[in-house]
Amino acid sequence: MIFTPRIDFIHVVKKPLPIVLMIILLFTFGCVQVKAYQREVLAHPAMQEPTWPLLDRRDQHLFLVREASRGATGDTGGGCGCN
Amino acid sequence: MRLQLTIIAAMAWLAAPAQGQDANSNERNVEGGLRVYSDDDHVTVVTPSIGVSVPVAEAVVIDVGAVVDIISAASVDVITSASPGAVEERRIELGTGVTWNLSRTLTLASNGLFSHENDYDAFRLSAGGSLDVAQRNATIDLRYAFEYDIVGIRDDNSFSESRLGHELTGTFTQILDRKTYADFVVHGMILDGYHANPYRTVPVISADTPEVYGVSESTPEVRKSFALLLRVRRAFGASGHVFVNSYYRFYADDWDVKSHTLAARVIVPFANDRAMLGVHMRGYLQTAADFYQSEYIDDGGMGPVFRTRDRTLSGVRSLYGGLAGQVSWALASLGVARFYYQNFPAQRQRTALILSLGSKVSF
Repeated sequence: MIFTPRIDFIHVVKKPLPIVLMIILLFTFGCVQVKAYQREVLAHPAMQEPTWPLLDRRDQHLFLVREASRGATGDTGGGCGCN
Repeated sequence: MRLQLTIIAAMAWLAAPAQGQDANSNERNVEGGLRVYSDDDHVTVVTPSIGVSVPVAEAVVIDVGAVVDIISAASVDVITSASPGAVEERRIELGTGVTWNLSRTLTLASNGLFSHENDYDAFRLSAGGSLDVAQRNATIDLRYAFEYDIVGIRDDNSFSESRLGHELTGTFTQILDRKTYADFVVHGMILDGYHANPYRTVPVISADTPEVYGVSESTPEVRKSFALLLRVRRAFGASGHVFVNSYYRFYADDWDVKSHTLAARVIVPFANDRAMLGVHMRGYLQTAADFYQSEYIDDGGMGPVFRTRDRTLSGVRSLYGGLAGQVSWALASLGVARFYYQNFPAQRQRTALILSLGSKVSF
């Protein structure tokens, strides 16, 4: 039996496109202007991303080598990680 | 009172660009950490790390860092490989980067990373920039990364395979109100080259006879993927006593792997913000690659063209829960991760314990 992968990348990409557009529109039209002096809470360390870079980078690498998904979470790859 | 408000406003303005990066480029930072990973598949990884960031000019910061993975493994993968036996090895990762604040709203950054194991080398180069717009209420960040991996076999210099990769990541961050950030991330990637593991063999069952024979892994050379992530960071309470950072990610590739990731971290500061306690939860659900099978049957004498024994390409579910705490410059976390591999008969579950210690000093 011969196994051939199904190459339907374009088909996959099309599906979430409406969701992407909706989110972009939500960001574009639904936001308010926050003045600099109103950003005390936004400046809190717990609001930063990543909050704890030292921990978070290594967590991402851990999941990177034990799952098949990659990207968008700040992972940088680098080595096979002894899977 | 007016002076205090002015000072607070100035500090907040400095400390809170829309994406929340550390804008105080005059500080030198030294961070170090130690992580211990141990699972019930007889894999233990001890990872010391160190990083330094130094301002070298008025608006230029250079980062250097090193990470070492000290690995000892006698996992299912290892003991069923062509050369069974426990493995002791090290992975050394060296990274450097430069960040250049061109103006109050425009930042450029470039990073390089090199990872070495005795049978695997990985190179990463990335460059990009972020631009604050809408009176610094939004940030657009665009980054490109090039990667090159060289795969070898220990004690066999004649074997060498490689893989090239291109990644593009776009991030849009928007301040929604005084207590809320929203991040939207789009990531696309193309990997071209060798994806298999040279140590693994795939058992193939002959349809005509009860014979089972092992063959090397073989996967398509090209893999294209994309991921979308939506993150919300929000403070709750009158003055932000509880902070929630949650995200959802959708991933898909042309090997028919699709996944959903949902994660949340709740952080409670105390002792006048000198300490923070966080609870982290993460759930992950993934479909299998379309050529992945728990067993392959050869009914025509040719065998399957694509075959793998990579458990990560089976259907995967995982759960993670952990606690993290920071007191001044000291940081610690303890987490438990449980992985479920569907259609991977050799080991359907794996439980891991992860302990991290770290510190960051600025001067």
